[in-house]
Amino acid sequence: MLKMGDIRELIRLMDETSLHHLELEMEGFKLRLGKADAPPNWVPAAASTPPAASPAALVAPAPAPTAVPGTGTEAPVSTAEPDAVDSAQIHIVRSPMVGTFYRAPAPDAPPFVEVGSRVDGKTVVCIVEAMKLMNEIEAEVSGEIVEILAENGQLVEYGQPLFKIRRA
Amino acid sequence: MAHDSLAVEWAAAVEPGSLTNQIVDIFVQREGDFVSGSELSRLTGVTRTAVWKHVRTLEDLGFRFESRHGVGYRLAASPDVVLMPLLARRLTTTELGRQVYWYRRLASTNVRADELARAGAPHGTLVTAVEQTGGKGRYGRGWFAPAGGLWWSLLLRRPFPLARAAELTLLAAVAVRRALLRQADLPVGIKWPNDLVCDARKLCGILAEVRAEGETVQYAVVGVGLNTNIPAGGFPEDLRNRATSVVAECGQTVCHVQLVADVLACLEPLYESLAEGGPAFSVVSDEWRDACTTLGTRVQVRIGTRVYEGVAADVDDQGVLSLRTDDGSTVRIHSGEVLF
Repeated sequence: MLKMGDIRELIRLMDETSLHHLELEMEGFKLRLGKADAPPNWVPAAASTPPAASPAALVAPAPAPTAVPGTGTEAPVSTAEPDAVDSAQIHIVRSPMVGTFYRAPAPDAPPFVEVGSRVDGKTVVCIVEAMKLMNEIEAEVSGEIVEILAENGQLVEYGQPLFKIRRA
Repeated sequence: MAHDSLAVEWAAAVEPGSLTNQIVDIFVQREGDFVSGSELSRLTGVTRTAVWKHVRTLEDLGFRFESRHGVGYRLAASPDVVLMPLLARRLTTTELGRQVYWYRRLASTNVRADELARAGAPHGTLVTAVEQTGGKGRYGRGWFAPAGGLWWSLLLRRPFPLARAAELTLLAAVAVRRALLRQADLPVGIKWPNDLVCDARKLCGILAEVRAEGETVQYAVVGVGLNTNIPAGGFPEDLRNRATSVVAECGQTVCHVQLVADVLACLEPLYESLAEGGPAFSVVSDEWRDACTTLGTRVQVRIGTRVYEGVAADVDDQGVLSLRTDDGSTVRIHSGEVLF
């Protein structure tokens, strides 16, 4: 279930991208977001699902097939990869700020987590640093790390997906 | 003279509510008047023997007492140690620095402050150590932190937007610089984002660690490592062209207690404003820019694994550095390291 903060974050994220529509369906929960300036001929971005049969959804049940964002009329979506969206099974840890992504607390230390690591809500999964401010990012949910979506030392954007966690 | 049964333990920690603090407080209140052993015993609720042991401990910390037989003890001199009763005399803040945890030796004051934060320590709690054995620089790099420097961390726990968290570290640089200039006649520059430098060598490093929920900072620990009274010869060979200290530069020693009080006095209203959604860094950003040694110069900035080169053109009121590269484009830098 999404919290108010998650929804707020989604709205802000949408605002920063060329994404026009977003539909999200979870158990007993449906969210549809759209921009006022959306082109009328909008086509669902989940290109690998048959457009006619499927509801207009960016979110396919996880693990999502790799969808190609954009249909030629849209600019590529930079930070919201279509398959990197929360679902009932998959939680996406996103960067809450612009900064440098660090997978370990120090250069010679082992990473906080690896693919396969079990985490709980309070497990620190990485650090994002900006202007000598270190932000330890927590997993937010219990589960297992299934994918690491950013490189150590990489500059990450606000809202950029960092980890995929399969909920326990 | 041996005191086998009264072995004096070195003070390794002085935490809020400790007997050491109580005793110092009593002596400080008396402003150099004699206090009898029995009165100390009555005020603190411990035996005269225990009081005596603590007085010896305090002497080890640098306190000097005069004892007069049948009268008691008189505080003759206080050391420049950041203990609550000594700091309290100089504090002008209402909340910052009102709880002090002092340690002789810590791995890292930031780590200890974070532990205390998790245990519910109040807003404004200050942690300091005479020396740090595992002082932290950016991204877990080591930080040389021997006795003689001022190593401390401040816990701030008013929620504020994560998007403005970087302002905190910039504010801290301005606050420390101001406090330093009150005591030392020294050209102190700021290297983006918040290092204090003297002649391109580091005087002070500031590292903040935050705990956020979503986009709201729940608490922040601001760690300040300040090379105050470390003699020039006290730095290892490999640091000498990169680091310096106040005393090495101008021969003046810094009063740590006063410096901490001054920094907190500067920081408190700015942080309050930040937490209330008001202006913070923008209030002092002109001062920051005037002191900045990075602006207008040609620099290399490492961002992750890439290095950009250009002229540091501006720093905006959020602290973002604009770098004008040779091809005429401008790179806005939120996160990166300016290489000397």
